[in-house]
Amino acid sequence: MRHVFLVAAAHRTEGEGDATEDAHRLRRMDRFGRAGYLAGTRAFAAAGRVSGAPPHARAGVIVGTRHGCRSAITEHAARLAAATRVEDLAPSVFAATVHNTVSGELAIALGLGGISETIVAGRTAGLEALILGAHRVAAGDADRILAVAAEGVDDAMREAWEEERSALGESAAGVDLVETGAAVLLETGEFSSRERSPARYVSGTLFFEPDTRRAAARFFEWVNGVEARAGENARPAAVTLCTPDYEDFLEGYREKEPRVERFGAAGLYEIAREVAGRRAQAADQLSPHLPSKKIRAYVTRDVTGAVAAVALESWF
Amino acid sequence: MELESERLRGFAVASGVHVSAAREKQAVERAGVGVPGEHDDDLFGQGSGREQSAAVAFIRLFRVGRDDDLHGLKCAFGADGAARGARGGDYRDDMRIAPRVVVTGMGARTAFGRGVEAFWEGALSGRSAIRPVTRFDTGRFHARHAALIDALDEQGDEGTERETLFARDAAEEALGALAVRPPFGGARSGIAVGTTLAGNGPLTEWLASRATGVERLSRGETGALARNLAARHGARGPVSTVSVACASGAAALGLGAEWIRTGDADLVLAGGVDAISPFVFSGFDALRALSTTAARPFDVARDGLTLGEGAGFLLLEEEEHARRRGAVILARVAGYGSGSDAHHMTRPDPEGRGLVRAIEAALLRAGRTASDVGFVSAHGTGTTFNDAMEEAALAHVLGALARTVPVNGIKGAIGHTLGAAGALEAILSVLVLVRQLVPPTAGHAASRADSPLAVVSGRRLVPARPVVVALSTSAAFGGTNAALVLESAESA
Repeated sequence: MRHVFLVAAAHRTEGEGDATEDAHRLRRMDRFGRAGYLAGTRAFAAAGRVSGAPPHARAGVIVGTRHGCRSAITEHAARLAAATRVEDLAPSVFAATVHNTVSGELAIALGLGGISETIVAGRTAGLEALILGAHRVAAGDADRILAVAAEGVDDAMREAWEEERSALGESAAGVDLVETGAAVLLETGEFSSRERSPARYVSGTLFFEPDTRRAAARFFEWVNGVEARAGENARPAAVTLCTPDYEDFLEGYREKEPRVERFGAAGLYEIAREVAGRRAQAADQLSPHLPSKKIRAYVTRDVTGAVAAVALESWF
Repeated sequence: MELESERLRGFAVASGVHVSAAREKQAVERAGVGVPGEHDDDLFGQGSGREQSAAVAFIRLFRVGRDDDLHGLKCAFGADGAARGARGGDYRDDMRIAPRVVVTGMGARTAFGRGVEAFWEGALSGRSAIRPVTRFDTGRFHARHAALIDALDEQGDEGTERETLFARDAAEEALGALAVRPPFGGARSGIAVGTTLAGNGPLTEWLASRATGVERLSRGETGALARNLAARHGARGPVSTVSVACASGAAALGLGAEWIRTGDADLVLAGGVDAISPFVFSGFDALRALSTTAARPFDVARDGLTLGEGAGFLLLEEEEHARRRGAVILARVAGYGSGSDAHHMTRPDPEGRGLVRAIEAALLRAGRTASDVGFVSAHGTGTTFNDAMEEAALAHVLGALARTVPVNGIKGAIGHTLGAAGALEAILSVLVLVRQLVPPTAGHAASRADSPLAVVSGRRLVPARPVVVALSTSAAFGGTNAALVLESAESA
């Protein structure tokens, strides 16, 4: 299997304001579309890759989301409720009610002519996209995959979150929902290397275990396996819990949990933030010859029972 | 040429194999796929035909390269270290991480009725299940027809969504059709669901009233159906949902096969499902994509697609796992490929380049060439643009063989089942491999004069040569394309 490097990353959160870049394209997307598109194009640019190139068969995009194009669905549903004839509907709005709008738009803009997938899962979706992308690159199905996670938040979704937060009880008190887009560019060692990349993909796991104690046990069993395979120089993995821990999934990590809800974008957001931060530092500070490896594990847990985790060998 | 070279270079890196010209020749000869040309100094830098032969040879060697064939591999590549994994390990490590994926169960729910046999008999008959819609009012729309499932006799929870009932039905059949019920469940079992808008009903209901409660709202998540199936069948391995519009069903099979190939699961229940509602019907009608009568895939007089609903699920299994438990192997999922048009969000690339990339990727992963393909289950929506695109893509990949390889477009019979389409068409492909019969394309009377495809029309066809490899194609809004290569169980 080939090495897979995290070359560059970007993230976009609510309140940044939509930039004027690709204004025409952004207008035809819903909030989810815009969040994912902007994060994806920025990560691509941060890596110095050229956009607008002809479609390339060895470059692809994989998107993860919990709610996907829910805002476009809301809009089409509202139009349909008021329509007396089909001409009252907006074809462009219905066309945006497919969850693969982000992957499609990024493919057009960046010439990603190969793999195109969209995972619609719970809070694990973003890390699932990263895992699938890394596997595709490692197996030789692609040389470059843009892994993206996005959640758009409109008024209806905010209302829905209020209802969901109330049902989750005290553990969710004060947790705000934030619109988020995050993207990480994965490349094989043929194009990237440890010298130029902040992190390397090591392993990923995805499983469904509603029992929180068993889920935690399976997660740490996986972490132990990653550490064992990392070799003598590896230090114990640093674990980042990327989602609010509504059910005491990881004891001892509660104080580190984020108190912000990003749904399916949570895991990739944490990774993108760290990779982008490291990438922003001067290239000569990236030490290619560190004496020991640093394993970082990122985990997301959905209250329905799904767990996704990714282990990286990092230089940050 | 450049595209192929890049693909093959990627394959070489993936394999971790450096191959000298002499060993390439040995490999090709051993695999029996032809001898390369005289200029064999740079394996991946020269003629495409030679590259293709070499790549196929390598893949076949890897695919058959289990312990009893290691000697053969050493003979082909040498035992002196030339063939080593990218991690610096022995090449056996690389071989062992690529288990083969087989199909050991199938389930279908279509407008033809419950079960795979109802689906197959309906397809073979050449009949269409497309009817005027009576379940909801179509007075506001131009189109009036669909292939809907009218009778729902399942004992579901009150208010259970239609797509959930379809999925449960097809999943139960896939898991229970065999004489020996497969040991499904636990940490080595996964669920991969493909859908476009599962959960849309509860969501739009909540949006309309804001008062249906959080439980109903949670069922409005697209991913809820997969978790519902996981809870029902005790799956504790990977569980997820893929949603790439009309290619979702095929993509779910690709995802499930990937989990098995990477060793994350031994058994995966994979498939697709969708139900038709006024929401979906109105949208396609607004896009003017619907036929005013019934879909006629690849027909010279086609005028649009007809929506359908249903579910298709396949039980995917790691081949050795299936053999150990004595399962009947129906077929092998040999390759999956995904490709993007990168052209337009709703209009397909007229030349079908995204679909070509998906098919080529699937064939390469399967270690097959276009000349191996004996049947095509086409996406064939019946729209002017899609079918023209698909004709161009298949003509490009199959070349002159396109005029002889039988093609079926099942959407003329069961409508366009959206997220279920790719899975139901994979089931049809498996049935063609097993029964060596090709159903006719309902609604198709005559292709345009210069059509490059051999669309089976009128009556069922007994193929002129045994069908060993079937190709199933899917295309979708967003420019997403997917292709599956399925092999008969008897193939090597």
